[in-house]
Amino acid sequence: MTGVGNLLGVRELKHRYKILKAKGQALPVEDMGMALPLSTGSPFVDSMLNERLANTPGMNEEEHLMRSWQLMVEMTDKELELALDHLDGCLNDHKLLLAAHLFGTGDERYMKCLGRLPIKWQLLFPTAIVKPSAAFFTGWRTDIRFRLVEDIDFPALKKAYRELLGKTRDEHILKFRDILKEGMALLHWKPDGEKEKAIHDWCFGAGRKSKEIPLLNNYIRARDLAKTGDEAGFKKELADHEHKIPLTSLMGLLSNFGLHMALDSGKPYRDYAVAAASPIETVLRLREWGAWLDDGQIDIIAKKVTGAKGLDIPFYKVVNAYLAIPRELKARIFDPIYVPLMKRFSNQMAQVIPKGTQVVLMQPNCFVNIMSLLFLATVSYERSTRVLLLGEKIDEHDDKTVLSYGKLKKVLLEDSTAIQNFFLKEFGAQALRNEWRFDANVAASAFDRFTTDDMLIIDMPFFFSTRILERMLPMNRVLNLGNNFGSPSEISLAVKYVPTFSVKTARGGIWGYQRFSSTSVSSLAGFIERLEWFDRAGGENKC
Amino acid sequence: MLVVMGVSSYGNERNIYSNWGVPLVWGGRSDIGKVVAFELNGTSTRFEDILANNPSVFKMEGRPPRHMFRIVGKTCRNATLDDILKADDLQLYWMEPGAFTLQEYSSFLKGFAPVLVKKIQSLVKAAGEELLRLSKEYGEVHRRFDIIMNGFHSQNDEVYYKERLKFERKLFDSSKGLPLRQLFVIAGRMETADIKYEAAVHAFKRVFKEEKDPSAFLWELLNIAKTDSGLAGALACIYSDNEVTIRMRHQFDFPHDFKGQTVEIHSMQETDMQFGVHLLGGKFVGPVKLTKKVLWDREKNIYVFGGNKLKQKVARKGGRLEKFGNIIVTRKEDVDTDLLAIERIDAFSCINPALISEISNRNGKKMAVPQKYVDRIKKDYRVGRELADLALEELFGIDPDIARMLYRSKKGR
Repeated sequence: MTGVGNLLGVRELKHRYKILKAKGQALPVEDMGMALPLSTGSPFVDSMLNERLANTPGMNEEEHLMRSWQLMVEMTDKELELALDHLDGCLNDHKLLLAAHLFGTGDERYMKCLGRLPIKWQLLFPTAIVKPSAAFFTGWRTDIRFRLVEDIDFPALKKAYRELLGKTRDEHILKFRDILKEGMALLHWKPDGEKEKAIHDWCFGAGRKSKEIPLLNNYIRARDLAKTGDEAGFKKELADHEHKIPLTSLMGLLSNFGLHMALDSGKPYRDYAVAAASPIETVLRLREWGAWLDDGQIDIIAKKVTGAKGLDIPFYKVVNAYLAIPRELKARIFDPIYVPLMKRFSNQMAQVIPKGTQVVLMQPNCFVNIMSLLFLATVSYERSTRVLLLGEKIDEHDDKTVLSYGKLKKVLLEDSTAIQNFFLKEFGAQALRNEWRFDANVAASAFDRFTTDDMLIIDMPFFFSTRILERMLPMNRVLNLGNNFGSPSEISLAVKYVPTFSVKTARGGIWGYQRFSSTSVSSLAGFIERLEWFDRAGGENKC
Repeated sequence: MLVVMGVSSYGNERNIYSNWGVPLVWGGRSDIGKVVAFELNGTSTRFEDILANNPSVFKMEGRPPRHMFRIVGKTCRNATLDDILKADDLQLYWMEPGAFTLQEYSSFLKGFAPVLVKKIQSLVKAAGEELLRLSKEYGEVHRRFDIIMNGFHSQNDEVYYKERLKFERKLFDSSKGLPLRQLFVIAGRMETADIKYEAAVHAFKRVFKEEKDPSAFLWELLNIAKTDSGLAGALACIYSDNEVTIRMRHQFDFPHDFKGQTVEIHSMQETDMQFGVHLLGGKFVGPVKLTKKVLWDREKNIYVFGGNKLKQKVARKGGRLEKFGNIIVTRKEDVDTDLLAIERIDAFSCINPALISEISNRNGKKMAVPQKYVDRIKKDYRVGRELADLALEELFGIDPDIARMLYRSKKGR
């Protein structure tokens, strides 16, 4: 992929990955956070960008942790600089791990790592130093005895923690009580000042000394009312709140009353919940709240999600939330919520697929019915997509149809009959085909119909051919929705296939698959987001 | 001449399958086409005539864009039809309910049945080569008869279902005001799924409004349902309705009936507590909360709510619960316990190898970790795998990769 500016592109990033892989310094694709065969050239920076401390097919979480840690121990100054320059692209668990490592070596730059973490992760810092198992693992592993930093400078750690507590906001104190409690216990914390005393009491006592923290005060009063079952008082208490109780705490209180927002008695609490939720919480709750959200509430959510804080939500999370919600709600949130975020994603995508580039979707002509309109609409925002349908003979290839976002948007939320009519109008009889004979030479001949600079999206699963690979080699941008052909500039997005039946005899076999092609939007979003960071960090790393 | 053909609709168009088969759509769309049969006069009828004579089935409005409908205009050759009818797999076809009325079937059979009877009579009398010839002829006729009878059965079922639906709708409308217990029993006796569901949901909603203690009421019904499968079916309907589901989850509190007894539990698995299936046969320790995680002893059908409390109780008596994935293990000589130990060896090996010395096998054997491994692992975490392999062989004598595969599959990763 030809880079924009001084960026590298997929071809070079893939090349670097292959070299490191051959040296045994790169992870196998299946053990990465996102299965992408890309490398910046530095195993340490790669690990910061795309290695999760979780179980993968080939490695346990402990192995991932120790691999990352050893890469940190062995990193060069240049690599560290590179990682610190691209902290926003690094994964949270790795930022915390790097902060712990830098703290252990007495490097003040650990504050920079901490500063780029969400508050929940920042509060985990003392735990990561003193009892790493509790910070990085789950289940029974949280109790494994081991330390990463051998000689801990406790006074410095306490000083840093004190600063952190000083700037922790009230809702976070309420939300992350367990993390605070663990951190304080590990440090044998002696509170100093009113706010710290209040936090300490909230963690270890009943939280009654909470005058310094108004939100906590509100919460404890509401909790007392919940204990006595005084619903009228509870409603009044909530209405008077200046600070909103975090969503999860509110849900806990409501269920103490046996109330639920989806039921009649929950109406007064819905507005409160929508107002109290953070942008990411609103996105993740769309499915649950779908049954009762009114237009005003959708407006509030839209403002949150498209506001400054909402911009941090990765687009693939939005796509996943969108795919999960009920159909009626999809139509209602598409314009206010999905479109602005899609627009933002389209700008991000312009890094690798410049606006105005021709996008070509190449697929067998019998695939018309199973292509994802959401995927096409997202890709085609500000770039039109030419659909190249492969025929069974060379003169049967059909690339007359060009789909733009404007065209697709009209049918995106329609029912299946309208979509089928749209397909009939756009593709004619191609929409009625249900069989296709694979012929490598015929399929390869379709490459004559576009140039190497076009963006090619190829959707031809279960089929490998060197003829096609040969034609794909000079292409600069290839997204593959099926299995990898192995071209240097090709990235596989792996659409989900679920086998429904299979019949196999000595003479041959038939397999039936169900496919979920809309999830490809989510993979594309995740891929573009990671690629951007690999590209930036790789561009500054001279190999 | 009997013609069987496949019809499917796409958008506002309808089209016919050329392959005469059940259309297996490769890749995802699997709407199996409607199959209809036509009794034609003579064998010279063309395909266009079939289309023209049956306007309610085939609508082709205007010329569609580009090259469309390979089928239209194609003449249906007699030979093809004969092939189809003679084909061994003809019985794969069936007729969609609604393709013909019961009267049409009846009048077709009136003419067709004597032919069948005649064939059977001559078949019974025949012998030798004559028998072979006649039995082939009979086979052909019989296949057609099968298709017609299949169609007749499905049409008959359809008619029955429609009448039953009318009857049950009337029954449900008139019984809406009955006492709750009776209403639930009636819902259990409904045959049509729609009405059964509607009646059950209606009854559940009434439970919340009318009963002082809905939990106790439902508990009583569940106990009756242990021997009444109809009622059990009606009670199982609630999870299709959002409101009822939420009310059940938040507003119900079932009694726990299992107190003051000592039980030996070997291993418990974590599961989601569902209404119906689980409640019907189980014994409960702790307050029952629907859709919450709960520990379940499969063998004895005992449910424990609040796994942590159980852990503390056991600890107070000097016992120990080992949590492994989603399974709690209490018996030492258990494969699950072994797997837990194997997983721990794997976990310890790269982060704190010295801890491996504390793990013992069933015979109490332990392994002292060589210092050279501890030193090497500090420099390269990958050596941890070597040590883990060694420890697994030494303590459990099981192939390390098989062991890993076992515990991973057990945890459902």
